[in-house]
Amino acid sequence: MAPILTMGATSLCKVGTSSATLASVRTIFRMPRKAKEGMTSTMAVIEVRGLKKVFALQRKPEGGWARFKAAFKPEVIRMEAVKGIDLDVDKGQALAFIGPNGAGKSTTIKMLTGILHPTEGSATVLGYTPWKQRQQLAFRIGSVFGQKSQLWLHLPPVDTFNLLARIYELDWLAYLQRRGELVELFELEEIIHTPARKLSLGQRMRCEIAASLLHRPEIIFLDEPTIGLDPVAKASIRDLIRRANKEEGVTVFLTSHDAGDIEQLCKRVVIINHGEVILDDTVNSLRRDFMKTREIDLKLDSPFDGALIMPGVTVVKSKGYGVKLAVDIAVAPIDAVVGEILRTYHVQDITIQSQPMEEIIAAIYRGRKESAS
Amino acid sequence: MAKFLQLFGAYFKANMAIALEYRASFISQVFGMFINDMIWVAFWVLYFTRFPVLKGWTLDDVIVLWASLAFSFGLVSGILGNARRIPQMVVTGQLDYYLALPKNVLWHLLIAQIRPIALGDAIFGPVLLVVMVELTWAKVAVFLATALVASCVWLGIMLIGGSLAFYMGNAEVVNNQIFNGVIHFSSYPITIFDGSVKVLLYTLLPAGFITGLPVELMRQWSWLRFGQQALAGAFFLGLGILLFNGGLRRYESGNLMMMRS
Amino acid sequence: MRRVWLKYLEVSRTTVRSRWAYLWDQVLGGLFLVIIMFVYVQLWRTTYASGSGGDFAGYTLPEIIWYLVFAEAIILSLPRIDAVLDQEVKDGDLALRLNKPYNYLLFHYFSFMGDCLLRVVTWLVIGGVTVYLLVGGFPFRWEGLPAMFSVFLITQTLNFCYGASIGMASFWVEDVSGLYLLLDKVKWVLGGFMIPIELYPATIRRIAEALPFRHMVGGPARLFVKFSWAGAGELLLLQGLWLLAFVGVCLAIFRLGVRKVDVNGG
Repeated sequence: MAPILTMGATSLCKVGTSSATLASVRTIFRMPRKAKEGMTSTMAVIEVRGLKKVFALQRKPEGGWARFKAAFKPEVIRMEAVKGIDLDVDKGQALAFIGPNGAGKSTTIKMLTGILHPTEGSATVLGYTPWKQRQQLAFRIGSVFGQKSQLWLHLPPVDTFNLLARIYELDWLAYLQRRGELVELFELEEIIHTPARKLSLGQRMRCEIAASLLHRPEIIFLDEPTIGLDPVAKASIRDLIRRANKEEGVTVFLTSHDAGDIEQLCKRVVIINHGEVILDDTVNSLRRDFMKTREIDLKLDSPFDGALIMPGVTVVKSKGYGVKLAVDIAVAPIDAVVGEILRTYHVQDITIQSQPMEEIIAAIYRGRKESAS
Repeated sequence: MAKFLQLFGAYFKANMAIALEYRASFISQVFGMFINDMIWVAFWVLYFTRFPVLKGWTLDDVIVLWASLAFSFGLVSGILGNARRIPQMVVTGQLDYYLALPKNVLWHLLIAQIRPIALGDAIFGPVLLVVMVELTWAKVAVFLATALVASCVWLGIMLIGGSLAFYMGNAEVVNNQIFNGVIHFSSYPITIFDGSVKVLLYTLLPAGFITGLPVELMRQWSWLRFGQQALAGAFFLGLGILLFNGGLRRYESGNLMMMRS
Repeated sequence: MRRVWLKYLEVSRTTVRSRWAYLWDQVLGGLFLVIIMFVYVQLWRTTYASGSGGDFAGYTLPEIIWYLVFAEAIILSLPRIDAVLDQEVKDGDLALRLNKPYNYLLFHYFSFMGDCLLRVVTWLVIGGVTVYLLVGGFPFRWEGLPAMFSVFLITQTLNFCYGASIGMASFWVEDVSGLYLLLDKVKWVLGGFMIPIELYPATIRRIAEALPFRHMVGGPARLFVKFSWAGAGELLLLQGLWLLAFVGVCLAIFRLGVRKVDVNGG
């Protein structure tokens, strides 16, 4: 029984009790070397220095009289949405830009796409200053906003594509060829002639992403592209984005709440909270540095006697024939722990889980470096 | 220029496709609009049957008034369908969509929606004119010229009113009041208004330029008066564009009263 | 039995309370009524001043303006019961409400009247003040107030039945809004909404007199301006007769519609 292990949000592994599989477990859990940072072809397509955005909001008070006064002398609150971000993104990178709600993600993306002017700081996207050269930049970037569609709801996606061809001033024949490529790549043949409102969310999303790639942008900004999708649709969207990234060299700038998006699409993750970057690292480092706990669920032949004492191993729960252990792998390598368990007990079944990515990220949001267990 | 026409053509096709898709609803809306217009005509027919002359105006003049109003308003609302929707677009953040695209925001959003219903209004006006009033080619020319200028005034008003959304919260409600006011004052012979009101109708609520002058010019052409109307049209339109662009800069700096998602 | 009526009164009260929150918006919307009345006054003042040879069927300038105030108040205060019922039929809410322990039409009627009464006060105040400032008042017969109020109630009941019947056409017709627009405007014209029927050309006036619409708009408006006990009695009688017919039609449509829902499952 081969071990099936994916380092995903909830990764489960069922391992048989033979020693052969133990060897496999050993190899798998020996973490791979950290990928070399700084890929060979470095050409920064996005350069951000000290980007700041302060909003001056007017507080709308409750009550008739207060509102009346406020019309003449409004109470202005300064809200620092983005407090000074430095960022460099290289060509062809796939970057996950994550943070809790209100962290400043959308504000940052809006500044990078030229929709919003910053209060301070500078940014260069493909050599342009986004808010100053918005239109020129717009020709070379694409964007997909998970909650706002650019497909015309009542028309088939192909009509939206045709419209976009005109907006981006594409040569018609070249556009048709490109459209054909994307339709094939994204498997859209059956759906591009159906009115968009009749498509499922997953199908619509595929069309949206295809639409954003029609003009061969060098960077695409994706804001929550998999939100609201079922797992199958999510996997398919991630696959498409990955292919666009790998095969066309499109730089991907992704924001998401979904840990799966991050793990499966991006090599690099930037975590932002309260308007500041709190982490900027590769996904592998994130895993290695933060996923320090494993949970082992055991089903034994006989009731647990509590005899397993190893540093770094704590018993979380034990009831009858079942035991749940938490292992700090910085202290106790997993192969040693599993080996000890298998030697000491007759194990009917064993499940090894790593800490879900969501927990890790949540912990980072909270500002704690240690993983919770 | 060619690219602009191509884009406009593409939007035109797309919008028409949608209207045809919902044919039944489209037809019933055209019908409804037709009924509404007929009511106003009915009112004036009843009135003029009883009181044949109103301060020098006859039924013919009122028909010209109505045709000018329907044609100019319908033309703008029909072809530049988003002109009236600017407040909603600002509030819902729909402007972001246009900002992310490689075109000038204002004229892109204006051509992006064509409303066939309003075009019905634009057609009704001239049809009514042809049916009920004796026309000469000269009169047709006058009608078209003055109605086109009136369209500029309308577009200007919509841009000015819409730009309010960049500065205040309840712009949509205020806009509706402005439109209702201008339309209402434009629907009646300007001769029934006196002194101070007339001043108002040639300035803040430019009904005078939308229907007042067109009727007057139809009765008696005067290059001077037409020049005044054209000047007014240019003024309102220019002011509208200026205010919109100014408001857009404010929008881009993000300091809006309303919450933007 | 008392509890039954309390239930419906509560519906009215709740509607009024929920509308109260939007009072400010309504007042703002009242601005347009000011404009309408202002323009009307200019129009009729000019008409009367020019003495263009027609007689005014016994209306003086203030009277004709106040006639319009009342007509506007009646029409503008009408909630869009047709749209409400259309929506409920289309959404299937109607089927849900049939399970509740109240009569469907009565529920909507009391909601309608509560809404209507609140609105009519606003419109009368706004329109009345505007017009008073422009053309002054007219000899209002206060002693006739109870009679006038009864007339008003029956008027709006007639309008309710009219609107509700149109809305319920939704059981059979896809797009009710076109139908509503047509029938509503027919009511306006033949009901004397914009000009008193007495001023219509002879043929049209005869048609209008035979139809019920004048009892739904113009007739009541005229009574408020030129009150007489005889007039009140006559109007109430005619309204009563039409009311029987209207209520009958309305109920019949409802029963037929509900049966259709039962058969087709909504």
